[in-house]
Amino acid sequence: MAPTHVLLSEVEGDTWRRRIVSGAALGEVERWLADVEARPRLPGPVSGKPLAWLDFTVEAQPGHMQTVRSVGLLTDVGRVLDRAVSAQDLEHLTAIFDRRGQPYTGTIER
Amino acid sequence: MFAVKERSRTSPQSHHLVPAHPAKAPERGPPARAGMWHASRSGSPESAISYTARDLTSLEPTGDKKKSDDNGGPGVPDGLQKFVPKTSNGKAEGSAVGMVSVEKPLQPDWDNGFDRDVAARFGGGQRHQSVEELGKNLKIDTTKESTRISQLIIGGHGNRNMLAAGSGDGPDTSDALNIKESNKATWLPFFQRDKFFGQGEIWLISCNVGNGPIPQLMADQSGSVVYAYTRTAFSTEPSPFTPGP
Repeated sequence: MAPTHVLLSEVEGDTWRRRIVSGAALGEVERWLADVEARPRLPGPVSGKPLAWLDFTVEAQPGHMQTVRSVGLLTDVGRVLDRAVSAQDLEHLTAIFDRRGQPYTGTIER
Repeated sequence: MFAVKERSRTSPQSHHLVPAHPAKAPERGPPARAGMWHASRSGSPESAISYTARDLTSLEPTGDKKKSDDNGGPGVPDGLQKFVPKTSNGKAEGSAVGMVSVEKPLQPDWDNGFDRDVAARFGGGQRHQSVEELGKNLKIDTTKESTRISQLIIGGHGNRNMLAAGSGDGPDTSDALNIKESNKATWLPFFQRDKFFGQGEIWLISCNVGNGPIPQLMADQSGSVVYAYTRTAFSTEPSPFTPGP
C-alpha cells in the first residue's frame, strides 16, 4: 500500500513532537530516505535507540494513521537504517517538515 | 571471571582501570546466582585488548576539539566516557562479585540483535524486561547478604537521553521501560552504594548514553566509577571487560 502521508516524530522530553506532510513533501522525504538507503551499510547491529521516527502512513480514519513503514532515526549518533547520516542530512530532512509540516496530534498504529 | 583493563593512550604500558591489588582482597562468598560471578580486580596486562576506533560518526562538532577531548581522559579508550562519583564509596567489605543484566525487549521486534548478542556474550546472564525487573536483578539485601558488587555490566539500547530497559530500539519512551533522568527516583535506589564493593565499576553497554546525564547520576549514587559510550556501541565492542571462564 502506497503511503499518503509521512510523519516525523521527534523526542521532546518524555513526549513526541509530531509533524505530518503529504503530497510533494512526501515525495521529498521518500527521496531523502532513498538517498540514505543507497549508501553502504555500516557494521551492525548497534545499540542505538531512535530519538526520531519517520512513519510512512495511510489515513485509516480521520485522526488515525496506519503505518506502512516505520524508520527509526538515530539522530544522536548519525545513523539511519545502518547507514551514516550527517548533521546536514538531518537538517535537510527536518527542513522539509519545517517548511511543509503540520502538527499532528492524532494516533498512529504501527 | 572478568578482568577489567585498559590501554593508556599516553603510556605504552597497559594498566588496570582499578588498582591491581585492592586494599582488601575480595572474599569468596556464597555461590553466585545467574548473571553473577566472583570478581577479580587483577588481570594480566598481556591480555589487554586494544581499542580500534570505528564508526565514530557523531553529530557533535569535533573540529575544534583535541582528539583526547573525545574520551573520558587519560587511559580511557576512544568513545568511552569515565564518570567519577562526587564521593567515592570507600567501604570495601564482603564478597566481591560481578553482575550483568541485559535488556530483553518486551517486543521481539524492538531488538535488532544487539541485546541478544550482548546477552550471549555474557553467557546469557540475567535479563530484564522493565526497569522494575532490572531492580530485581540487582537486588542485594545488604543486611543479610555479604555479596557486594565490584563490577556491574548493564546492556541495552540507548541514546543520550535514556537507557532502554525493555523498550529496546522501539518507540516506547515510558518510565516503565526506560531509565531516564526524569524517572530517576524509580531507578536510582537500585544503585545504592552499600551494594558495592568499595568503589566498584559500572559499565553501560549502550549507544551514546555517555553523552547524557544518566552515568553521572549512577556514579554519584553508587560511589562507583561508571563507563559509558559516547558513540555507537556494538555487541562485539572490543572492550576492557573480558569474559573469563
